[in-house]
Amino acid sequence: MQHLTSKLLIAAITCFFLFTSCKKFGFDKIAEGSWNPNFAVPVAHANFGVYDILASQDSSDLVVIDPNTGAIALVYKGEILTIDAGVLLNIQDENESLNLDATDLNAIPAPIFNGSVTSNNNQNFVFDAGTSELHQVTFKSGNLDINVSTDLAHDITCVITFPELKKNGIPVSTTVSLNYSGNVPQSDNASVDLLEAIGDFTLGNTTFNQLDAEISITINGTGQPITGTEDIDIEFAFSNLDFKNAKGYFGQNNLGISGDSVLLRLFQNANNGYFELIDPKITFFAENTFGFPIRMNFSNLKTVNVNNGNEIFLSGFPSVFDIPSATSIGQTSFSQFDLNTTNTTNLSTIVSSVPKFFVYTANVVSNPDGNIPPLNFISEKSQMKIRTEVELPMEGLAYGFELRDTVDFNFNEDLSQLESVMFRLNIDNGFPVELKSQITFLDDNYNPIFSTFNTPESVVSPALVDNNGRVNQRIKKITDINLTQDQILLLSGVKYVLLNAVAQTLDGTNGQVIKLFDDYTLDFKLGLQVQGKINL
Amino acid sequence: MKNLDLNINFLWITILALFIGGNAIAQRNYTFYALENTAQSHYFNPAFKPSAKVSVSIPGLSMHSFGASNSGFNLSNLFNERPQDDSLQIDPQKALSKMKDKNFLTLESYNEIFAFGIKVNKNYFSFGITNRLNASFIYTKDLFTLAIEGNGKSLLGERASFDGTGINLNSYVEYALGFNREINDKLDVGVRMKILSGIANVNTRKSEFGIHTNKTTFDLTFDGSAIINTSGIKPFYDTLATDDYMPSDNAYNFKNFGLAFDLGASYKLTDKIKVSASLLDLGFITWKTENATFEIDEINYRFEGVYLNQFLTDSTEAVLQQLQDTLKDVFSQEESSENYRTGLATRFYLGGTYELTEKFKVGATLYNEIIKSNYRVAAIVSGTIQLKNWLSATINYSQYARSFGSIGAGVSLRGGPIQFFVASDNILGFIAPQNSKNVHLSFGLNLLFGKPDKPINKKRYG
Repeated sequence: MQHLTSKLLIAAITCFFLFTSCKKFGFDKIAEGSWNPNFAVPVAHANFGVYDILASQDSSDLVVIDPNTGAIALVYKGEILTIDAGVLLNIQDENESLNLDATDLNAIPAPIFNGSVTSNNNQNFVFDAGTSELHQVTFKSGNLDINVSTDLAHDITCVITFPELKKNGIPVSTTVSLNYSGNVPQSDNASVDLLEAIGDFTLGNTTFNQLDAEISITINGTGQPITGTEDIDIEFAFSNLDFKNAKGYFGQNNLGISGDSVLLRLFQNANNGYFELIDPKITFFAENTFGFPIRMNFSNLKTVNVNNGNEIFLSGFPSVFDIPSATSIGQTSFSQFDLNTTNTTNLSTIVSSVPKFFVYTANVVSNPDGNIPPLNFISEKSQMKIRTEVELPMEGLAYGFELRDTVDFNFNEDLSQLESVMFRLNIDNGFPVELKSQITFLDDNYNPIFSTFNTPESVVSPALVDNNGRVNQRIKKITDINLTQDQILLLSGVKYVLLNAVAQTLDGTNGQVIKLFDDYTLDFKLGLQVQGKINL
Repeated sequence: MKNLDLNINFLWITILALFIGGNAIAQRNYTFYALENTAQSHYFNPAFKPSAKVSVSIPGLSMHSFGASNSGFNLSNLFNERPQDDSLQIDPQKALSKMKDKNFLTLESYNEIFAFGIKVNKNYFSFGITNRLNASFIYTKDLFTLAIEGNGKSLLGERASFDGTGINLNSYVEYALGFNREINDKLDVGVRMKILSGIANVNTRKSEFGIHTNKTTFDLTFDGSAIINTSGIKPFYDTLATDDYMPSDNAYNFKNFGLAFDLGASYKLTDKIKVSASLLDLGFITWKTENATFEIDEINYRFEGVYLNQFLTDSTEAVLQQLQDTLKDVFSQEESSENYRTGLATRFYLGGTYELTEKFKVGATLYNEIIKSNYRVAAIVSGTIQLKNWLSATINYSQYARSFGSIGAGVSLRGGPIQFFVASDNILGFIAPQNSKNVHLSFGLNLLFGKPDKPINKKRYG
């Protein structure tokens, strides 16, 4: 047994050394390795509705034109003319001087005069209001300064009254008194605030722009002589005249509209393409609080593509837009002028070249029929506004609709440990619109470095529509944008990214008409898959 | 309490070594199961007892046992040899291929502080104080797959499962009273009753997490929930805690009280054949001090990237802030300080030996353990030789933790009253660490008095 035990011991030791004679692990032999993780992460997602896509800058650009169906239209608005009352009526300062001699004053020469004598005279004022004919004015502000001077060595009382210039129904009147103190000449002055004064400038419905003053002068003797050569000078100064409201005739004035434009934001970033809408409209809206009619005469209506200079003129349109007078002060007259496919000949096609602007030229004239009753009126708050709306109902077709934008790009991170990068676009499209895209990376001289696709690639497939042009089937599209390691390394030299997309409505090149409704959506998801290669 | 500090340091060093070097060490002490003539074999089967009448383990020189294992991979699984120049290239993919769906990184230390045993006729009484530390990190293959290859390859379109991932740590001091009795010539039975004083605990009670990556959109869906109990950890991160907190105070104050039992029996079927069985660490600790329970409610959150609609209307800062708030909301946790109870890492041995000669016997042992409801088993065949009365040795071959070819060995030798012993469940862990998933070492000194040598029955073998 002892022999067996020894043998077993030897066997066990032999086995042990066999096991332990395996190759030793050499830590010094550890060479470089690499870690090659591949991570896939979602980057962004969105659900775009019609407002996000068509009216991202201003949601009011989009309106639902038919609540029953949800049909939508793009409406671009522009304020084209605003005329304030101050432009139309401006009452100039009025200065007059009156010299009354001894005869006018009923002053008979005497070596000693202790009596009293009174005289009455008038002064007429003619106000300058440009082409306007003032009949009645309620003043918001105004000053009347009166200066009286004389070489009479007696006490003088001068009462000046304006019978047709009233405050609270009472004629404006002021008195200037001169009390002789032993020296001549003697003078004094008075001032009248014309706030809320109402003036009738017709001299009893006989004329306009005129006002009379009555001047009563009383001389009370001081015992000094009257030689007969003395006189009294009165100076009148109307200044700072501004009206609260006025009646009269404010002239046939050219209110001077030369032309303006409405930016069609749908085409703001578009370069090329064809766009055809079924029923576009252009509407001018006027709000007039002036008490006289206004006429707008259109001479030119056109769309302009500033990129290529293309202009398409609207033809066959009615050219006169008559804007009636407000009925009374404080009231507004509303009126509108429509241009549509029935009263023009080519409205639906003037947007076909993806224009940037709708441009119009017109002139605006007040009282186009001249001075005919009733009288005009105007208030300090009177205004006339004309604005326009270009309404583009989203029913039609488009193709080759090219959108282009360049954005700054600056990426200086070390990307040498990235072997490849893949952006994955998942688009679930509920719009009957296809989008082909190309992304080009540019250097600081705008020279292309590389592009994501060899040729523009469809990234959004159009949803399908029924016979009425309404979407009845959404379409999903997955697009992978792969960047190779070489391209990734080139990113450090990229300064700009040129985003280019060409949109086309479903089968637009074959004349298929589609409609956009307010319930259309587009689901967008962007994922990123990165293959790393990190040396260990 | 010096042993406690040693344990904590050892924990960090071992975890670091496991992850950096891919080394694997483990301690199950099934080698000790065959070294019956040491006083410590009593710890692995209370039915075993030393031959000496009195045995004493002196603090500092007593038994120390350390072990760790990583079932997922070993060091050689991390490297590939390049044929052209035999240099080694790191190949994490290879390590991945070796992993199972769920893998275990375990650590155990067993530091005997003091032990005393005395034999009275057919009875043997023992008392011992031991510092114990069990720690495990359970990880899934998908966790490493995510870290190594990302979610863009095999996990694309799949749910990366981290279900069951968690850390468990149990540090306590046991005060054991043992009793062993020789019922008759064939049957020995033993029991150890252990009163436990818990020091620190981390208990991943529930951990179910996953990340699904959508194959088409790459959307990430996070799901899961977790409940993690901790005790004695909070003062290390709680700014309101006192600075003088010493976890070692819990080693003897029994604020975290526990109770456990070891049971064992051995039976001689014939003169040559003996079978034995033991059930160890059947017990619990109720954790009451410095507790913090973290609960993450059911998560089901899909991340689809930045919401562009909001991005177009809000500032970048506002969008990112809202995303941060959302994530905070989704992954919010609740903290409470309720008491809780944990079970010990219960294990049991089944063994049998056959005496080929009076000095040599062979044996087979089945080692079983339960870690967080996960059952693991090791099969061991061994040979034990008693060359002299003062010298015995054992060698075994085991399969454990999906590691094939672990060879364990142990030896005990005595000079006078001093018995020295050393044992390892996997000596290849020291010789060829690159091929090992576990490493283990136990060693110590005993003082033996009164007939320490087991008589060799030569009569039976002529």
